[in-house]
Amino acid sequence: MSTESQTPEALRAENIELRARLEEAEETLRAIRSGEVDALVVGEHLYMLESAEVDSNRFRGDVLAQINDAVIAIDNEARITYLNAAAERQYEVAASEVLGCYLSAVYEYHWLHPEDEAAATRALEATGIWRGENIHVKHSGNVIHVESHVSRLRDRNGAVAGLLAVIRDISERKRVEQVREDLLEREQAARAQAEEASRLKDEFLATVSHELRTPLNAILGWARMLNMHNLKEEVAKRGLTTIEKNAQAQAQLIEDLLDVSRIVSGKLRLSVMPVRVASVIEDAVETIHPAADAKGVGLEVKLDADAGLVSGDPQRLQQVVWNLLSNAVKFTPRGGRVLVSATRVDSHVEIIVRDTGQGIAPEFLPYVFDRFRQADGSITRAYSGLGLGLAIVRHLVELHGGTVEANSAGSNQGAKFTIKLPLLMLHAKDTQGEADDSAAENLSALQPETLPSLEGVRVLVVDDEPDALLLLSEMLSQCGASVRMAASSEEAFSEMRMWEPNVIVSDIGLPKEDGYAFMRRVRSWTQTTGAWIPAVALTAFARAEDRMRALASGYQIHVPKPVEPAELVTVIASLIERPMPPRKSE
Amino acid sequence: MSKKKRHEALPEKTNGTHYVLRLYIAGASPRSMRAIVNARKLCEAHLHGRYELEVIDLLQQPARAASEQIIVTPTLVKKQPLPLRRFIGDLSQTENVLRGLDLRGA
Repeated sequence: MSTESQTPEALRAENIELRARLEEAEETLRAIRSGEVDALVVGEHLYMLESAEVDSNRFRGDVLAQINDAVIAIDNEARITYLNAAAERQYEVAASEVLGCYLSAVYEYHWLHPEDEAAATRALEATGIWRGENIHVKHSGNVIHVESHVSRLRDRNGAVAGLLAVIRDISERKRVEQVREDLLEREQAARAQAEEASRLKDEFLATVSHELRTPLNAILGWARMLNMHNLKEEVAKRGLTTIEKNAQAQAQLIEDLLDVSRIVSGKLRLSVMPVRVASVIEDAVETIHPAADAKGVGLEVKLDADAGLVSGDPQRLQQVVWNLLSNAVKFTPRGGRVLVSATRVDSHVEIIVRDTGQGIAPEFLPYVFDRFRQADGSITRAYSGLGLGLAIVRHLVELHGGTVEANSAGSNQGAKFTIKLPLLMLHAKDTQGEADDSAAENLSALQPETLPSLEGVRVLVVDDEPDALLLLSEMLSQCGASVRMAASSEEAFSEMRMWEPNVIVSDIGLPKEDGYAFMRRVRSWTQTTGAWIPAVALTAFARAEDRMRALASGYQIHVPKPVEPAELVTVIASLIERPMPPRKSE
Repeated sequence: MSKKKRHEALPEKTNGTHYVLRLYIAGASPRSMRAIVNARKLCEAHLHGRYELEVIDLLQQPARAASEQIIVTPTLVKKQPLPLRRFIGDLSQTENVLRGLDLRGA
């Protein structure tokens, strides 16, 4: 270092700097002598001064640097004294920026269960080691699920110097586990649901057999008695009444079952026309009156004068109201009351059926409209029935674009069913009157007092069941028809050639040649002769597709069994009045 | 464990001089760890918001020793402000270090 060209100030500065350097050198030597350093550095070589050997130390360093788990050491103040490369990656930090800082500069930790904290402290006190899982919230705000192995660090005198944590991010594993658990849970729920459905169906089948057998017992029992003994006339009459009542009950059960089957297969169809709500309710009330009277349940009807018209199937709407009424009567004890009302609310008509009966338990309320569902499903339950009525009600109401809901304040608080149907909007007043009349006519045509006469009408009845044949023959003769009977299609053909009937009424289930084939043969025969004989198909197969098939084979109309005399007579009369031209097979 | 302190290492606009410090260590020895914590405490207490502290493990990066003429570890180097100064040991002699950093009486 040259001194010649320098100013006194520069010389003084250099002097200070040199003294500082000397001090540093002396300090370094002093530090080495007094053992305050770890290693001597010569070029790129390190010479560890303490027992720790540089190679093993470097080996440890390499392991820690290459390991995939985060390794973090803290002192007793929770300041970070070591942090490996994996920890820098896992926590998105740089070692230089967080070394010496509090651990919270890297993450905040949360216990999965509150009791874990005490357990961890206990484990560290007792064994110096704790293993467990936590949630770590990184400085960046990201959250990871970790598995930690924590052990106590001790200095050479055995005093606790801090903690060493090896931390593995198991968020992904946890996520996969969670997905698997969710799947399992969903699968179990689906299975439980399927089992519940299957149980409900089993229960339902048991109920069906029970419900079908009960009226059958009465029918068979009375039929045997009527056959075997000379009963007093009044007893015999009571027997007949019982048989009729039970047969009707059974026919209703079967009708309900068929309706449900149609609902399930989506084949329930409505014959839509303008319908006066009030007359639907009046008709339903009239039908239910005997049952209510017999049980001593009061019926109260309140109809709003301008309840108006809805667009719907009058028979189906009557079925809806009847179902609700018969339900209400069934679950209302003697002395109770059933109220039915119809009120116009804005563009809706509201039909309410309310009773003072046993009500609906809140836990069953959400299920009242479910198929196969009964509050008491046991075979020994107090109330008979299939539990289909309300399911049918809901479906029919929904088909009409309406809604139905059930309310009950609870057991023994009575029940209230509310139907809302959209009103039919008609502009001209007289159009309303007209539609009104036609709907009313439609219904009254089936009343017994207005049965049309079949005086002089020749009817050929085809059925292989002698009892059914006799019944039909009797029914039609009483209305003035002259009737001939055939037990097979062959017999029917010979009768036809000799007698030229005006109408054929034929069963579908015939031996050898069924009713469909028979009618196709009749139609090709009438085409050659030029004669026109309308035909009615009778069948227990009462589904829409059966009706289609009957019409396609050449029948003009389809009447389901069991046959209501009034219906059959009305149907025959209408066929005679307006004979249809021969139609093409569909 | 304390959650009150959040680490602040990024340089901020402050009135004081900006400090650039490097701490050279050799592995995770107890002395290195003490040096790290002492260096950080010192910075937090006296250079809050106006320092950069880089920790260099010469076991992992031996080539870094040459540039600062490091001959022992741990060594703390004050790179800025000049003049360059070195401090040897675990930095527990706080007064000496503060004087060397020109932080006494500041």
